[in-house]
Amino acid sequence: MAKKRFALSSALTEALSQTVTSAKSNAGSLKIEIIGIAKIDFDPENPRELVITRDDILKGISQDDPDYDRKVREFDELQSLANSIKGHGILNPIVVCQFGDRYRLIAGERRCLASLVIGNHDIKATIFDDKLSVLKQSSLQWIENIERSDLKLCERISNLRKIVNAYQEETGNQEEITPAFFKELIGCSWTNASHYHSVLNADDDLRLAIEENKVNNLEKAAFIAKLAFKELQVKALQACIDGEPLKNLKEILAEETEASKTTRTKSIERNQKKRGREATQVKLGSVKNTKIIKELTNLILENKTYSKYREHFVNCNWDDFSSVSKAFQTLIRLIEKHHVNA
Amino acid sequence: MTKVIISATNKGGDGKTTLSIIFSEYLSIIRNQKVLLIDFDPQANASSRHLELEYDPTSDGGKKPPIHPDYDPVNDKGWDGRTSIADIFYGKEMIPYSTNISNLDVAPAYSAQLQAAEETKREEVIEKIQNRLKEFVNLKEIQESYDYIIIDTPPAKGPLTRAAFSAATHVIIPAQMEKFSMDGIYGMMQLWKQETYSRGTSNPITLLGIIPNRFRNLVLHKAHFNELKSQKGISEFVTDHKLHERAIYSEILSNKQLPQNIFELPSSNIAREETEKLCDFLYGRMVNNG
Repeated sequence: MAKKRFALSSALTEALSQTVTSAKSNAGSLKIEIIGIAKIDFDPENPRELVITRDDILKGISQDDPDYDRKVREFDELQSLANSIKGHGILNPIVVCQFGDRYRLIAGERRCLASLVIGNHDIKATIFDDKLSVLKQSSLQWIENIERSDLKLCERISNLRKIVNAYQEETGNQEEITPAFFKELIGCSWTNASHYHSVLNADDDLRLAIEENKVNNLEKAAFIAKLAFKELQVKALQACIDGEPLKNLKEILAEETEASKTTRTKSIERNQKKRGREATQVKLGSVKNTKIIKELTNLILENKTYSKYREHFVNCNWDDFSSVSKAFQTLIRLIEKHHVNA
Repeated sequence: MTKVIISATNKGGDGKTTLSIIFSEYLSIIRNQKVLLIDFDPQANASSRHLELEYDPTSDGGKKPPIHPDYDPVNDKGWDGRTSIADIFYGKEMIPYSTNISNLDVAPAYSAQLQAAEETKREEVIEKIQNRLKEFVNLKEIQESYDYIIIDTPPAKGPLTRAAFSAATHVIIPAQMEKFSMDGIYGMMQLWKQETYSRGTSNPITLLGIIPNRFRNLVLHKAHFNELKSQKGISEFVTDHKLHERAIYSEILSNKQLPQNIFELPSSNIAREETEKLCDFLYGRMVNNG
């Protein structure tokens, strides 16, 4: 009789393993609680710049308030969100992190305020531990806000700057931040990552224009920041502030390029030489004729410094590629060793 | 904080009740801890280990707890003298019964009432049931009275088992090394995973161990055991300590038998030895992992 064998189905064992992995890596990710809005502190550094406050909603906006008009406008905007909350509830829980017995708001200021508008004093929230770093916190705020079209470019840039500073502070890494870093951290496309990178490193004129909300388009801002010459930048910036579309800005570049063609060609040639990582080793390449290696080896072994290594090569089959490769590697290693010792 | 250990698997006969009984007695007798054994299984077997349950004519083969020794018919108006863990679903006070073991109390089952909770289909009721046990074990009086709570669960994945998962700090899954039991492990691991998703890291539900039970020296049992042990991810949870198939485990659970529990056997007894080793291991894991 054949020997008895038993095995679990591989589907089951695999499913068990996956369950464990998934549980470990997603622990706490669905933790949602209902918390009192009164216990939430709004983060003054949140990128969203609402001027309307909790008190304005609970007690009414004072006519003497210097921001009266803006607050009234914001209140009207909140009203429409409030109506939707009234009808459908909060679809996405707000995000807070716990500080003792209070919470600090990471994302969801408008949802909180709108809930107050309709008289809800509790709200659904995802709660993170209090040990959340500034970096993680800013990243969460970014992720939460990025999809919203009404966020101004200056708000986005100021939040990104906060993330970069937090990253440098946390890691002690003062190196320049690359587009790859943005792509990784905030999960945007390569194009946008590259745009943000350029705009973040823009000079003061462009920076000021963004801060004053004169430039509110990422593509345009990035295009201007990437221009090689200051005079081109100034021209393009002015065109941008005048409301010219991106196509027209590109024309400015085309005109100027004609004029400065010679300079540009030169700079490209120079760049080509620099392309790639700096070489730090010699590549030995490969040959198809084993005799070349045999000859090289013999030549070197004739040198009296190396002749004592001859015994390493007596068993080599000089017609076999892998044997010859091995022999040559040995030769290089022996020479290397000799140089280290010397 | 009181540790809440549940013994769970959706397959019947794998040893949930046996393990609940053994581990609660180990903690109270060997470790001298204050323990509450909660019987959350409508079959009420863990309860009948310590109490003389009465057959309940209103439910088929169901049982109800006896009159509580503290019941005073003159002064306790509005109480029929019985109390069970099902009372937490009816907004009533639950008063644990003491047992012959000094550190061990029991919150017995009331078959018909637990069965009603288990069979409910209404979503909003299920939600309430799920949270009620958690609220109960977190009551100040309970937390102050007990170091450990052991919960025996029904062989199902219904509202009662889910409620037990919500309340638990630790889970043990007994399993025979056979095909249907493996599916039971899988079912419980899903509940454990769901519960882990919805908890914060400060309040985890720890999988204390998958315990090979009723183990026999068969090619089948050894093959399944070795396979689980070789599977990355799952192997760390499968305990090396097994409980073998032995008549003594059934005998000792019969009423009026001597010795009354496994820990009264001489320490050289093979059943006591393997039981105590397993319990030592689980206890150590629990104490070390917080």
